[in-house]
Amino acid sequence: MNEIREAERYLLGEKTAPERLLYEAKLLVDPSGALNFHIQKLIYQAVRLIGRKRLKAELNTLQCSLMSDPAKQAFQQQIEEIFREDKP
Amino acid sequence: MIAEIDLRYQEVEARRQLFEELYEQAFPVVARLVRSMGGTYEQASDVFQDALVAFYEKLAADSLSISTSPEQYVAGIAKNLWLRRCRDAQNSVSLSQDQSAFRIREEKTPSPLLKKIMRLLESSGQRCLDLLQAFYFDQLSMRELSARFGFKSERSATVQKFKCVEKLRNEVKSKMLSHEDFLE
Repeated sequence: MNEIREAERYLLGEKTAPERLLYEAKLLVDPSGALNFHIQKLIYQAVRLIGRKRLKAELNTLQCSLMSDPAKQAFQQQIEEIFREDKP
Repeated sequence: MIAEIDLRYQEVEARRQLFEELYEQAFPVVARLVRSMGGTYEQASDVFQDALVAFYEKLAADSLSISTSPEQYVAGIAKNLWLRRCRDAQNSVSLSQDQSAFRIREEKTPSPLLKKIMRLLESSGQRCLDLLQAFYFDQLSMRELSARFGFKSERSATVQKFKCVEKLRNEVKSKMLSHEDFLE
């Protein structure tokens, strides 16, 4: 658990410059620790990308409902007008 | 104009409300620009949604750094993304139209390995993924995280979060070591 906590502090930029250097030096002589660190970094990237993907899906649903909600007719007309075929 | 952002924007309902207002106020502006440059409704929607995602991430990371109104900010990011995409496609749009205040870093397509890790995370226990997303993407504090996921204390939420990271790290590692094709 401490290894994960330490890698997280590095990845989230919570370490001071000397702490970062020390941590990087430690990983240089510890291939197994370096692999663990690399995977943890990839997991954080993957979680953020999944977060974006899920949020975009949520937005798509919201847009569909805005474009079909009878209470939002003024908005729908405004958008439809912009994309009418005869406009440049 | 959106005068004040509801600070509970990480909660589904408040977030929906905020995005709805942004759609009504900023989407027509972006749609007009995209249309004037020959773009489609789908392209305008895509660029606008990417801008909303970028706005949400900015809000979660550092809401104080947004100096303009939310709708101006989102429209600015969307315009910038659109101009950049056009430039990439045809290399002909004037650089002067690029407003640096609204520039965001557009991520490259994830590597095959990262895509595999995403799939593994999505198929390996919803609760861990939800917990990690709430912390690393939505950037909830440990207090908010404890409340949302029903932990007794911030400490137990922290422990659980690290356990999830450890479990996933071990799963990825074992795939890496046992399936050579995982690394391809």
